[in-house]
Amino acid sequence: MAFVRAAVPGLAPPPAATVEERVARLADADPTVRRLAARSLADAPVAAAALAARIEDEADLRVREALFGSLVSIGGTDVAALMAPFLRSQDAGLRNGALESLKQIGAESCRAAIDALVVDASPDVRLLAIEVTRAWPGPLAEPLLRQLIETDPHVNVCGAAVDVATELGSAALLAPLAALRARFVDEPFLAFAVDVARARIAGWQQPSGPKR
Amino acid sequence: MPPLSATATGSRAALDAAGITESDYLRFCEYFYRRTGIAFGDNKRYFVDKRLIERMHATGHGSFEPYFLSLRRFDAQAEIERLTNLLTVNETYFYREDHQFHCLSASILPEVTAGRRHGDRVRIWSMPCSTGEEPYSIAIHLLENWARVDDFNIEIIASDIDTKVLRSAAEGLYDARSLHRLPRDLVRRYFVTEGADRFRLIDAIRQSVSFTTLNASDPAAMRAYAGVDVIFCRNMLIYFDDKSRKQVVESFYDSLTEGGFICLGHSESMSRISPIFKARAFAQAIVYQKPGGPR
Ligand SMILES: C[S@@+](CC[C@H](N)C(=O)[O-])C[C@H]1O[C@@H](n2cnc3c(N)ncnc32)[C@H](O)[C@@H]1O
Repeated sequence: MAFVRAAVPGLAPPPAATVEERVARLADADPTVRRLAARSLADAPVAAAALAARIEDEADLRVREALFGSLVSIGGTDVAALMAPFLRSQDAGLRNGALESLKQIGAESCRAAIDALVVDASPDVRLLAIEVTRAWPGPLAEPLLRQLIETDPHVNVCGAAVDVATELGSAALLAPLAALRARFVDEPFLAFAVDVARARIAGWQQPSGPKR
Repeated sequence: MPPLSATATGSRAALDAAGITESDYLRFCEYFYRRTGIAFGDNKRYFVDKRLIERMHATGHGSFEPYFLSLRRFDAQAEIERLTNLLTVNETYFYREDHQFHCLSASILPEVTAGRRHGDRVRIWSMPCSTGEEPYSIAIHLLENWARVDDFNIEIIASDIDTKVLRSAAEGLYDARSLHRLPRDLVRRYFVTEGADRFRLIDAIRQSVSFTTLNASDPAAMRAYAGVDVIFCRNMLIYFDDKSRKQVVESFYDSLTEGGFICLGHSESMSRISPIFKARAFAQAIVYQKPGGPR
């Protein structure tokens, strides 16, 4: 007979190694060992700093994914603070990993970190910070977007904020958007984006439009 | 029963009257998401509320709050299970997306078994399996299409979080809807008719699959599944959010042998979940592979 019934797997024994031992393995020469160590630390908040510290030096993509994954599982404001600096990295993979992870960690946990990043001196960093808020519930994202739309001096940053605001569809942003258009009269692309956003938001306020 | 998509003011008023507020709904979704990885958006409120109300009534709770609290009690397991069973989408049928089964017999298994000896184990995992059509289809397909089916000890493991569908899977009793994609001669070969719309799968096939209860969002439980050569994970991740999807495929990576494969549903793409697998475009289907292993 071709088929045999599988011995249904029993529960694997819990990892015998201590947190310290597992943290030490994050630097092992074998990437498989490093990856399993990273995975096994998903339930060890005390290891968060050690996991984050490894990310920059880790060359193996699969190990890096596991490091990010475990940090997301640990979650919380401390992890968000550890992750935020990676948005400045020269390494695009690292920046994207941090961006995706911050989105997954959730608004409550990364609010403080993002509040600081949206007033960062670098427009590139501000842009990525806005991208994170795309994953947030409307009421949390709205005040930040309003702040940027009202004050940010950089046209691309404002453009990103308009883009997220369009998805959000909050009527409270209609007036700030109109003011933004006036602030950048010489930027036809931004004007166009603002017009689209305002039309879309106004459309959603009609009784028959989809509720957001 | 009104259709699930009904959002007419009448039914909305009825639901509000049952006392599930917007914030109750969000709290419940958060709780259920943490437990299962399944994320319900605003548009699922009617679907969820209706099922919550059904369980509230069945357990004698007049309002949401005490029912929700009861789910946190130490003896709540049975009720959590009943509620979970109601909230999962179990739609499935025999030979669904069968190009992937052709890919299994024509491309994947020849590669996986290339270095193996007669009598070696080949482990295939249908996760989630719902009412069993998928793992049984794999067994039937291999018997019909894979010349080397008798050369190996093939284990088919099938898991789901929903205990009700697992019971029905083990029973192996199906209606015509489940069989509509299966060629008539296969129905005759592998089923015994029991009444107008009831078909019982023959024992030889029923006994070739081992069913287990498993929550894909429980990494500790997932760790028990190892040495798997091919995983079928179809039409579950669409109900998960990015974070849970990533967590599940990381677990799959650990369960797979080096060079092992994953088949996803047609609307699911690994490239949007994780970069740790390699996409393999075979003539029959695109599937995903854990790097390494004998090639
Ligand atoms: C639509 S069925 C898919 C069945 C089959 N794979 C197919 O494609 O036809 C989805 C199944 O996923 C199961 N499921 C949902 N969340 C799960 C979880 N966290 N762990 C295990 N199974 C889950 C549901 O119980 C349901 O039976």
